[in-house]
Amino acid sequence: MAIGIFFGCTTRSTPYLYDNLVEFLKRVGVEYESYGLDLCCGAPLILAGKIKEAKEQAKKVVASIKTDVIVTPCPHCYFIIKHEYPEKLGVEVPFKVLHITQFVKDLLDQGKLKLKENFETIMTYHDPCYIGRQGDGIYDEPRAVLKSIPGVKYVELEHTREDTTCCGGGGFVRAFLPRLSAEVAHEKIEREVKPLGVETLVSSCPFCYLNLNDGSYGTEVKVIDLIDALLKGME
Amino acid sequence: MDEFKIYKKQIYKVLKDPFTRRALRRAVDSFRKNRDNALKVFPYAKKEAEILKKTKDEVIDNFDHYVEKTLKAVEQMHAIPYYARDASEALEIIKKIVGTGKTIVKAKSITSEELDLNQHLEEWDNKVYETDLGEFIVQLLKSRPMHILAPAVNIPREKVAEIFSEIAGEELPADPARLAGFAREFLRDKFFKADIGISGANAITSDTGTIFLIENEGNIRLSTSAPPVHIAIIGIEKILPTLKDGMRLLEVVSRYAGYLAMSYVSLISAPSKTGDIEKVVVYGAHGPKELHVILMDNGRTEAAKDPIVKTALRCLRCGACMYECPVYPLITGYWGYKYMGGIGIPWTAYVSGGFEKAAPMAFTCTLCGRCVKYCPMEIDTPKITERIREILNEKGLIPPYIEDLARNIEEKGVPY
Repeated sequence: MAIGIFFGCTTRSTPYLYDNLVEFLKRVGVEYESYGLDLCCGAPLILAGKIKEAKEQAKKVVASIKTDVIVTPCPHCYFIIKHEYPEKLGVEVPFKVLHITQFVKDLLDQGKLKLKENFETIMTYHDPCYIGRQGDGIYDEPRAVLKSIPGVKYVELEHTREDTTCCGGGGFVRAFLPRLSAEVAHEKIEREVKPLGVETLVSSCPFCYLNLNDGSYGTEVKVIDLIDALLKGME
Repeated sequence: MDEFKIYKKQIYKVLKDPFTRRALRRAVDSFRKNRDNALKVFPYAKKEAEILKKTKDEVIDNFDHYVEKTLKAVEQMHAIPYYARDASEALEIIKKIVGTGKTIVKAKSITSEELDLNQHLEEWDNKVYETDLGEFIVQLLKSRPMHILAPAVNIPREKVAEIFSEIAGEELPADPARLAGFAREFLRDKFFKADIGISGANAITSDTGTIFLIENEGNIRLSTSAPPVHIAIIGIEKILPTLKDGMRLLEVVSRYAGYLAMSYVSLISAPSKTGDIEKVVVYGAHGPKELHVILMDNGRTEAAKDPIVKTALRCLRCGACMYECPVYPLITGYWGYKYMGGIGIPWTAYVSGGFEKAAPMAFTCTLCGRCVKYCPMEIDTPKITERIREILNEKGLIPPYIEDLARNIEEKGVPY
């Protein structure tokens, strides 16, 4: 049975994220249908207060899905499709929705991730709000896969899991006040990440990735996506 | 859409201010330490907060009943009750009581900020002194409060020394203790010479009309007891059914604001009186002869009609959400009008400022939800903000660039 990958607008338009994800899916030999390349989940409509329009968009998205399962690298797509469609917009979702971190954890458990290369680094993970505190508390899965990468020395931030501090990119702030968003990320990195000697800050959200990356200016902290981290550890 | 541009410019300006950054880092660290300690020493505060939340909801759902009951209680105690539907009615009432040519001492009150009260009092030819140290600094700077509990949180000591030196007529050192000492000396006789003291309230109870005032400096105590007239301006969401509920609020608000206990708690139910000479009751013994209690709606009943927005009226003003917010410490009260931060969005929209002022504020919240975890009243600010954005959309008040993204989705299926 093929699964669906719901890429989402931000992954689709960020080559680093998109190319790595496609490469990763090829390396693990997953067959998939592609969704969400030319059809937004509608999250920006909800964030702009346009509920009627979001509902129309949701119907289009649901009609476009032909698989029983979709996996998305974007916590916003995940949360909106899985929860907001039925609960806020009244649109039924007749398929299963997974975040990429849940999907790769399954691959890990099934022995399908060949993590053999050494990725020598001091690493921490940034919990995205919409799969964590605001979503379904997907905290253990990303940590389990990151800790499985050989060479990784994993450290935990002081404010983590349901207490995580926002990257600053959410809620359309990055669209309205981009410099403020970047400074929120910078403040997080300066105050929470740098003091732990972290070299690699991993996120599993395209917005967190872009925003933390912007905020890492002037520091030695390298911000990468979780899929990239896995690729670095795969043979 | 100039509002958005002006706002953005201000935000970007404060973002570059190194003092704000440094001061707020210190403030956040010390707040977290104190709050964690207070909740550790008194772990039952959380349970008390849950009970208080239900009480607040009961009042919010029955404003008419509780307003009437409170006004009656105030009258029974020989204080003078007033009800003001909005800010202009409140100003009319205050104008009649105060008149002109008076000296007024003010205790910190955000509710009075809704009225631009100081400005009006001065226009009516009165002399006004803010007596809270932070508010006093803000008043001298002709600025506005930048935090609900610490209004001058973003002003460096050197700046305070500069303005205090000016009124002192001598060079004062940039030493917090010396500067606080100067404010004490300067304000001391004002309390006793003032004709009127004006305060807000942390709560008022509907059983005995008792006003709760919680503070650390002692200025509220002096402002409300030394002058012969005391005026209290109180938002109707501050009503609690009973004195016991007030005591619960005292515990909850102190602990969540990071205090084991606050230095002073004043409970005021009536004007000062004595019957010591032949049992004849005389009003105005050592304290005020007149106590005027103004209950003000000013948009609160309207906010209470929306099932999501109404939860914002539970706010105790402990300030915890602001210190735990990823955004607020970088820009302080510039993210705000009279009310600030994420919780300030509904308060600005409904109570003071209106939806136009609330629009850029609503797009400054990342909706991360960290504040919800730290709010004793479990106010879901992201949820409220999303609801406010829906209303902003109906009113055509969405930032232009975001409108473009939304239009792209409708036309092309994707925002970019």
